[in-house]
Amino acid sequence: MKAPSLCLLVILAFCALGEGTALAQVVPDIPDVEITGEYGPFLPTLASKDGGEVDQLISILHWFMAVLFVGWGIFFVYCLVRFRQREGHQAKYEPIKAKVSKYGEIAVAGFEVALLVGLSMPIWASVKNDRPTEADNPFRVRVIAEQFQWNFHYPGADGVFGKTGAEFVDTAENPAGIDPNDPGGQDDVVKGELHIPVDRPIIADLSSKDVIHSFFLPVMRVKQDTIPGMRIPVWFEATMTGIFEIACAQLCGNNHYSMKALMYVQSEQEVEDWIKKASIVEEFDEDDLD
Amino acid sequence: MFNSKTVATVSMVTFALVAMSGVAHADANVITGKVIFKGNAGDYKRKVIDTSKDPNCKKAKTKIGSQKVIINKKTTPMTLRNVLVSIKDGLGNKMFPTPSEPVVLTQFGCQYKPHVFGIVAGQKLKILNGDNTNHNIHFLPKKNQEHNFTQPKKDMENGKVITLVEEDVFKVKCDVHPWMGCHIGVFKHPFFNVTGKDGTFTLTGMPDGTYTLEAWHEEFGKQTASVTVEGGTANVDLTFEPGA
Amino acid sequence: MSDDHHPQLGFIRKYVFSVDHKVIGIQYMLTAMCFMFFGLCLMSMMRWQLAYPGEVMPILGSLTETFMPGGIMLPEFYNALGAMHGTIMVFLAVVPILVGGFGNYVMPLQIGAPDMAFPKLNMMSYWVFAAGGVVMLVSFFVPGGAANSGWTSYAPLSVVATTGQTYWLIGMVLLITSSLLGSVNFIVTIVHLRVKGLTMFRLPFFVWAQLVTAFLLLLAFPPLEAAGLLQLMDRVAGTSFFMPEGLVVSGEVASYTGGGSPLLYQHLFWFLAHPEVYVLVLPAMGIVVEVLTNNTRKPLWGYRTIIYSTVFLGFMSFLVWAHHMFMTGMGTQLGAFFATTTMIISIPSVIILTAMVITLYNGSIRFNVPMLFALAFLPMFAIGGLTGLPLGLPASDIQLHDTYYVIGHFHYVVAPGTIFAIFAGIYYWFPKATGKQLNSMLGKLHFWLSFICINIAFAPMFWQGLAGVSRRLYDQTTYEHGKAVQELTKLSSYGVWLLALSQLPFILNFFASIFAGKKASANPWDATTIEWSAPSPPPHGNFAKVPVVHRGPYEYTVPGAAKNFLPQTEASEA
Repeated sequence: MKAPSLCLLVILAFCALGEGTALAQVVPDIPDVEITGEYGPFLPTLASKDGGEVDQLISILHWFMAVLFVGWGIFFVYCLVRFRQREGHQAKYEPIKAKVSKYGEIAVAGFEVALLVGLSMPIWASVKNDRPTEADNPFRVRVIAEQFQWNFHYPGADGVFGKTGAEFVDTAENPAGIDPNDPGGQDDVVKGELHIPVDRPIIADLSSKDVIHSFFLPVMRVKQDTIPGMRIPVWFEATMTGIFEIACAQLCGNNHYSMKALMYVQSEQEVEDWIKKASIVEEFDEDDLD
Repeated sequence: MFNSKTVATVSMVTFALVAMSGVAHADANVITGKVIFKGNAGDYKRKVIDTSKDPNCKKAKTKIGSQKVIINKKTTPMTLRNVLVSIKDGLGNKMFPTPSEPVVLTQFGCQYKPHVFGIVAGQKLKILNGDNTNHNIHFLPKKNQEHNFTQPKKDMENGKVITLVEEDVFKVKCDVHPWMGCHIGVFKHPFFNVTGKDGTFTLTGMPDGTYTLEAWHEEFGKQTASVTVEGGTANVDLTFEPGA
Repeated sequence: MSDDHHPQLGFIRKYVFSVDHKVIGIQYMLTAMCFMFFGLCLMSMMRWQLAYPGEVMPILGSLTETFMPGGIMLPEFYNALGAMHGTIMVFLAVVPILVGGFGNYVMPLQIGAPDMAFPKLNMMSYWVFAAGGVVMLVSFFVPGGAANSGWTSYAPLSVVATTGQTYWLIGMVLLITSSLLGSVNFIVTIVHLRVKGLTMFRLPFFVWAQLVTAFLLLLAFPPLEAAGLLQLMDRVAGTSFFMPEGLVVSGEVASYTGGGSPLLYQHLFWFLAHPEVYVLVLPAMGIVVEVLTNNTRKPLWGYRTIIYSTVFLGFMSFLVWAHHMFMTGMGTQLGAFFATTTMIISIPSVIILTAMVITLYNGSIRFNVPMLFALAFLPMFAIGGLTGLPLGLPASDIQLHDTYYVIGHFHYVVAPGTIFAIFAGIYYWFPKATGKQLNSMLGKLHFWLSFICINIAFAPMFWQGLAGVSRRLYDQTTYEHGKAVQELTKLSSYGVWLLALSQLPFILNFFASIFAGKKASANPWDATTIEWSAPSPPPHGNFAKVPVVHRGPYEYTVPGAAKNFLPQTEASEA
């Protein structure tokens, strides 16, 4: 381990000589971001208002599955032991009248209907149809996926998203492709971090610039594919502040695995301050540097 | 899957053949000059690039700036950095040896270094990753073979070696850090140079003759100039005047 | 129908370009078994990267300097391995074994036919399949490597992907063509070549399963073939069937005219790929029923119910495809429809499984090697089926879609499910095909090792999935929830590697028994179906005398009969 890193340092030092002051600031002490919440072999921390319903359904389903499997398994093992081939034991030709199995199947089907109609459909309907209204004062953000990063487009102080178009896209300076001549787009902010207020409905409009990605917020129980050519909204409401991870859940190319972004759930004021700060374009004035 | 020894042997034999055929002379000719920028430098302010997406970038270089247009404001007249100047016409069908030393492209601080460079067709290009993060190198050539590969780990020793064979000027970008881009010019001859902090370029060793020089800039396009050189130094300036 | 109708053939015509269904069946079987082992090897390599992300791979690390510089796997190679593992396992291993191998070998014997209805078509379908396999293998060596957009090859990613994808598409078109030729042949053979007395309701369930499967292949594959060709056009001819306008790929405005739909591809793909799941499962169930009835020594419980359920299952399988696409922005109406059809399709599966278990009741169960595999199929398939529930309901799918939970689910269906059924079939019909018995000690060793290891490999995936770990991640420790279950990932990897080693007793047993195995009689298992009345191995033309069928397929322990079993072809004693 030591020898290669030593070599590396030497090489870096040579680079630094050539580069002059540019590399003088090698390795500043930037602490790693601490992710909020607990993660383990079960569902992660829940941080959204409506995600509880999804959790509840998953938990009911697993109890149901466990009961079925154990019940079924007991019968299975009983048969294997009781009817194993041995001296003096013979199979019976006549089929048994298995009423129990018929009732069992009806019960399973009935329970499935109950799950479907009673739980899954209402949850899915609320996920898909209960879009927050203007009265709910939703916080709006656009999410633009690309290989391999998430861009978050905030409307800025005027609350208006600038017009966008593929022809304006510049990966370095205008990743969202905002029309530079559109007055609505002048104060727009596009960043690689999602900052949202807590306890306020969020509407995120998802789109993709290239291939299919999937916007996955594990702690919010939110997942939605981003399909190029479509703008698909999702909504949720965060109930706890903290820093959470945003994952891409659909294979999108070589570096799919590194397509991660951070979501900061903050107070209303903090989000406002951050957007204000982010809207200032910082000038790189050290002209001597490349 | 050739190993490096075979490649080296083959290229040495090629050099020998080229040298024996005597098509090229290393004359002491020099073409020099500068690339002048005319216009309002204030229109082209460099922005600080937001690298917060990947904390490992900041760990290498706290602040990086846009490299699209860099104007050397301190020179008089103002000059333009990162302009690729090369001989476009006038060499005829002459052949020149391919340098055996590889050109090195380094990724450091989530930026390419150098940002614009030339390479001789057939010369090796070695790509190193100096960052403690995953980089994806995506070549977007017009004539050469497309490459798209990853370097998920820091590696300043071996790197990945690529050979470009066709004359071409194209962009290379990183798909993980979308702001990262650099430009490569591939030439059949070694007479090219990129302007730096003083905005000058120097081409050496071409045979006597009259040449068309081409200056290429990623944002402002191309400019050409004619120059004659006979046993000495010729001087020629090129000018970019955006909006004119 | 005896051997002297057939002139003596040279080696090539007899064993290579043969039209005999049995030789073709064995060709399919051996080719596909090699592909299956290859697919397992690809996965074993991936599991290293998953367990120890970014570390130098031992032994195989120096395999390719391009894709594993310094022994460290690159993400593009990882993706290629993943895509090719899926493609190879589904299209080059499991389907060819079940349909091409067992279907070809056993089905004509079970209906008393001398051969398939179209023997030359049969030969062609094998060679088209082989060509498809070669194209898939070659794609590993093209610049950029093999296809790396997942076995699902979703556009637009697959359209902008490296050259390997073009090979993948050409390979798929060949494989699909092969399957279509085969399915037509199967349907005609089963409908027309049954011997006298063999009514549809006297067919062994395995033949029914093959019939329904052939219909599924015939009706479901053309949409994928179309999708594959359209995607090929998008890649090589600049069309935009699946490409919308306004794409900016790698920072440059893409040169597609647009107007296409990425979702169209998904619909076409899953319209095949869901019935495909039943293509993978039905013949496996067929094998399990054959082995189960033979070794419980009693008739199948609910024979007709099972057949009706299977036909219904086949029909319903065309109406559930979009449950793979709940997260694409599907609305409530479609979501409700596909969730409902998904719940409906679970019912016939439950009926079939229940019937199999009830068959055990009052039986006299022999625990030989084929029976062990067939019995293991039942709980493993049950786990696979049950874990489909949370994925079939859109609300719970939100959290679990595209996570390891999905991988665990369908692997339980296909790996310890279908592949165990395949082993049951191999151990069961090996004496028929070779005239030799497999060693049962080695067989039991193979079973128990495989059974334990396969569960170590796949069970942890459910917990990983609940934790939120997405599938197809080169390095899951990028995420906090991935780091939290990294130990489970390692456990799963150990399971896979041990599983690969567990196949050694089988490979040894297989080859040793061919050459030095105990001689098998024509009917070593005291079975009733027609194939056991032919000699082992059956000659070209199969039966010395055209058999006549007198009864149903599973007449074991018939009261008053002299023997414990009454073969279908034996005239009634009374």
